[in-house]
Amino acid sequence: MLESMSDDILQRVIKVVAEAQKLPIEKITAESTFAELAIDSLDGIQLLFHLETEFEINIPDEAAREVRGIKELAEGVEKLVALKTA
Amino acid sequence: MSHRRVVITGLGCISPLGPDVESFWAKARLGESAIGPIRNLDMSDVRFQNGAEIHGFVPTEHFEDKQLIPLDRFAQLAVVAAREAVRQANPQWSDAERERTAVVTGSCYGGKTSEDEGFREIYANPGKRARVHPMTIPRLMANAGTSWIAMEFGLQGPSYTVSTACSSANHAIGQAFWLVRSGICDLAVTGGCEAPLTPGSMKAWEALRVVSPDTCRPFSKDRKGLVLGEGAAMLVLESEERAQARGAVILGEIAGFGMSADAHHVTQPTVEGPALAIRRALEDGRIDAAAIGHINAHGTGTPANDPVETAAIRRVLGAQADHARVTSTKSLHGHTLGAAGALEAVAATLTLGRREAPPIANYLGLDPDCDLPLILAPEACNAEYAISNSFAFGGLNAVLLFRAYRG
Repeated sequence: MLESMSDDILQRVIKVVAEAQKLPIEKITAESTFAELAIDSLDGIQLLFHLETEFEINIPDEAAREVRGIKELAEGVEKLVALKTA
Repeated sequence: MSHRRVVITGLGCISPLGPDVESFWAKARLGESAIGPIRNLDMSDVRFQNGAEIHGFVPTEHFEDKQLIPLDRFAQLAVVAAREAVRQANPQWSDAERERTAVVTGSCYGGKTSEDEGFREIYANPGKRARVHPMTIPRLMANAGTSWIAMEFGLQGPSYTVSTACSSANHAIGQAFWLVRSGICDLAVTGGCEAPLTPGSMKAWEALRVVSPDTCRPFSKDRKGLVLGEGAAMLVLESEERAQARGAVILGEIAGFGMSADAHHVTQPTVEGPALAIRRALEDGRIDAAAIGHINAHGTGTPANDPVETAAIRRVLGAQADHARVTSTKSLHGHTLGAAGALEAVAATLTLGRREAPPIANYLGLDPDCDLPLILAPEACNAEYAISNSFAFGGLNAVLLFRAYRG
């Protein structure tokens, strides 16, 4: 799954998370969970906002609700980016 | 029903006069006004140019970057003021006492800065996927000051925000006072916070035509209106019993609180409404009008307020109105709306506690309709009791009665 994901998108997602959460970028990997990164529900809402800006996408509420980690987040973003360019 | 006495054991403020209580008082006691040209906003399209801004406030010196994201300026000011008040009071809360500590703040507007900034893009770009920051709602809610103070100190007692325009802080402090006096709570952190200097707000005040084109001249001839300011002030209230038992330094006492509504007109004040609130405050404190030695007036400097307030004071105080010394510190720190009563509570507490009264600034001469014994230069104050008036647009009046604490 990971191999199929665009590394560019993953890196950009990680960069957005690092900046929004004020975390050192090297602490965040595809395998990091929100719990490990101490990202709470309010932080999550802000992440969605910043990701919408970064990728010029519209993230629906229901798509965001089940995401628990960086990999899922990047996958979700990738799908929305693909939809946008389709 | 027997009442507990309620004392003040902590004061905190951040205002145009300075970042803390001592800098506030250093200028206030000398009548030095912080009113000047507004520097933080483009005022080129606004008829008035002056305000009372806080300069030199750097939020990152008080909060971590991440902490600041959901904090509008008005809530930042609230927390900064509360920290100072709590530091001074050093309340030594037990867990049980945290559940019996109230947080009651006043705010007229809430997070106007965030609302103004956030909505500008929406209104300017209809249909263009404009968005607002996801923290806009937590930032703009008027109770943000109360919530962040409660979280800062882990206070779990009755906590809420009162929004009654220019009377907000007096209503808040009065409610907190009653919560402690009645025994529902043992302590309270209470006051007001406001950051109203935003482009939209400036235009709204301009349109109401009550802002002075020059400065604030309370009770003076040729006064032209109010001058807006920003700030926050907080008090720690505590039952006298608790404060004494732990050997706290007691800065003053709140002895009474009165409220009323004009039930008349949304912006034109009446004499009856304010007079009723003053009378209720004296009744609540069980004292005679002759005991009032100092008045921190609402004193906005508008043509409408000051003569009506003069008449209201005369109606309730009678002959004592020729003796009770009157100031309006709005000429120093501006009209900070929902924080006004709180800054004035700090001033009234220090006036009685330090026995020195801050004068009215910018006074030009007598208006016969405002012929109270005005304090026009720094002077000593030996009053035992003071009242602090707040009369809001919408005709909602709140008056606090302070007493010098002499043990």
